[in-house]
Amino acid sequence: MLQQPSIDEILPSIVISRQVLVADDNPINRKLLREFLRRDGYQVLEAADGEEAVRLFESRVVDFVFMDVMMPVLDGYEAVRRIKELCGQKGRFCPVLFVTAASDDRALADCIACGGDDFLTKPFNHTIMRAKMRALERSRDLYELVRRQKDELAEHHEHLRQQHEIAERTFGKLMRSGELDAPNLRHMLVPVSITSGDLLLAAYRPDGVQHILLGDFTGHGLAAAMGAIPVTDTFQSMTQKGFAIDQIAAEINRKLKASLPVGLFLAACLLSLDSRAGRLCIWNGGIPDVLVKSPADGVHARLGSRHLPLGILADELFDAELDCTCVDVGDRIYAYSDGLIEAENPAGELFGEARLLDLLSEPGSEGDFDHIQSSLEAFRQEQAQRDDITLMEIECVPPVPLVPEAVNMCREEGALRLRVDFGVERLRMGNAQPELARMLDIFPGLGAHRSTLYTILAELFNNALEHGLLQLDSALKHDANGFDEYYRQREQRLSHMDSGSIHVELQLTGDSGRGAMHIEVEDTGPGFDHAARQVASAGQGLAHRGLLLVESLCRELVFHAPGNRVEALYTWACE
Amino acid sequence: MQAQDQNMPGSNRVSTEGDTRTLHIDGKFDFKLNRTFREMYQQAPENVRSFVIDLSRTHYMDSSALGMLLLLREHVQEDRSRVRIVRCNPEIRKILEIANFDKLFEIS
Repeated sequence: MLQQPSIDEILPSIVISRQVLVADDNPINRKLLREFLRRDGYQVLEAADGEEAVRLFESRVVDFVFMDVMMPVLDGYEAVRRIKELCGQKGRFCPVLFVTAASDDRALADCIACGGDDFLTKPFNHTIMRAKMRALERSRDLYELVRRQKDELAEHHEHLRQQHEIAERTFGKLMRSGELDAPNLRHMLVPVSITSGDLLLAAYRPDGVQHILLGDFTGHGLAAAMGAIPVTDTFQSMTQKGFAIDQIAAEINRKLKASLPVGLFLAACLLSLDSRAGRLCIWNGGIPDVLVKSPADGVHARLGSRHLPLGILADELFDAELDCTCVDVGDRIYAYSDGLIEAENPAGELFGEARLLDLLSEPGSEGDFDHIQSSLEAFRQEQAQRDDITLMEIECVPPVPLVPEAVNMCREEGALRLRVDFGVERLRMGNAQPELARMLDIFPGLGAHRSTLYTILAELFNNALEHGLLQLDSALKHDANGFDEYYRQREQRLSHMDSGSIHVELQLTGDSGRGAMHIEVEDTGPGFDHAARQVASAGQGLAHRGLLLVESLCRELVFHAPGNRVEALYTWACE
Repeated sequence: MQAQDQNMPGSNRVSTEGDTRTLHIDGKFDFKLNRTFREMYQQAPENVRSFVIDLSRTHYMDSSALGMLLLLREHVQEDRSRVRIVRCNPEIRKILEIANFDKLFEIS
């Protein structure tokens, strides 16, 4: 009895393994074939009727079948029909060679009609048998090769598609980032593919000036999205540090020129809106005219493209000159990519700037954004787009007290004290980190301790905001789903908050040998039992890591009843 | 001078006269033309010094076309006198103007 090889041994070598099934009710015929086949190095399985043949084919790995026509139980034609069906299910090709004494055309044709691949008429000799087998094996091996390549290709293709999608989604997030949800901004983006080649960024400078970047990379999709990394990084970090847009434009240009291949560039306009001074400045390189509309006078200013797009000119040739205009509270600014005016309707007409100006010509401006959006939809009528479409509306609103409402600083005997109050309006805008960082900047000589102090300050501030004012439950953060829910609730409650404030006080003392920073954070919430929660949740996954961290960093950490005031003391030895 | 014509996909056409090679772009000037456009200058005879992009029959142009023009500009070592963009219709001209490409190329 032959030892059946395991499936794992067979699989990698299906093409070269040689197991042949011989189905014939006559033992002498089987013996003859068996002898020939063994001599040629094959392993042989034998079946005495059609049904046994089908059963063996189903349970074993068979690479070739010899089939007699006339057999008891199940004849050769029917057995081959079933075997071929099994092959179809497995996506395999196994040659079947009929062995028959019949010589009439009809019987021979039936051998092929039922699914057989060829026939061998008795009597036959070893040479003819070998030749017929060889021909069929050639077809089978070719089939296997094609099938494997097809599988590999499909797998490869799927893999690429997945990678591409992940990359596109990752970059896609970068393409629209920053504080785009600021209350005075509305935007629309209709990308051609998953990732838009249009870039839209917004951020506030520490002094409250709002920066916006609308960009349009050459082409769209992944290639375009690659350039988004340096642009987004530069825009966000320079804005946070308080740089002006001409400086930011120059820096982005320098980075793109250095990193992008020739031919890839970013048409962009950078806007800076200073509500306090009533001034809008813009650097426009390759973006259609930015329109400024006042509710009374309609479109009263157009700020056109004066520059080459970013990433084309060498640094020394770059022109960073800005165009500025006055704006009043209530004015609305419209910036858009060329995809908007080049959007086509089914008749091939372009949406055009005239149509846009016409929409903006009506008095009032409350509903303009929706109006443009619905007109565009009605115009395009599902016509396929060639380019990404981006439209941004910026409303000039009264300056928000971004800088905390009260800043109080005094110098006492050997100590420097700074008290900052974050009012409800400022809190609602989110992201107070830059201001916390700036508070620390006021104290000289913190050196390496600055970042630790920042961590403590930011954690205590967040704690006051999230638990003290927003009353969020840290227990939610025990698992990943709850984590998302926690941040969803945080955002929602923050946007609905109508009262509450946080007071932060820092006091630096020190003598020749050591330094000490006293941090006090107080919120106007009802207070909660930090200590109990902290113990209850210690070591429980994602919750309350913050406070544990702070405690480990501080020399002292004291919560005052009812739990809305915390004092921390951080000390260090001076070098 | 002898003019030599080459057949290209669509009815885009390249002709060379003396040291000037002209590409007539028919219809859309977009990313599909990338290869044609590149071969136009890369495979130009050695004596060719200047290139003319004839847009009289071009009715659409996108930002990748602008990118191709920048590649051609790099090919001629940013020598403004060696590339001319001619006979653009008002829409095409507008696109070139918005991008301020008149600072880089002779456009007429």
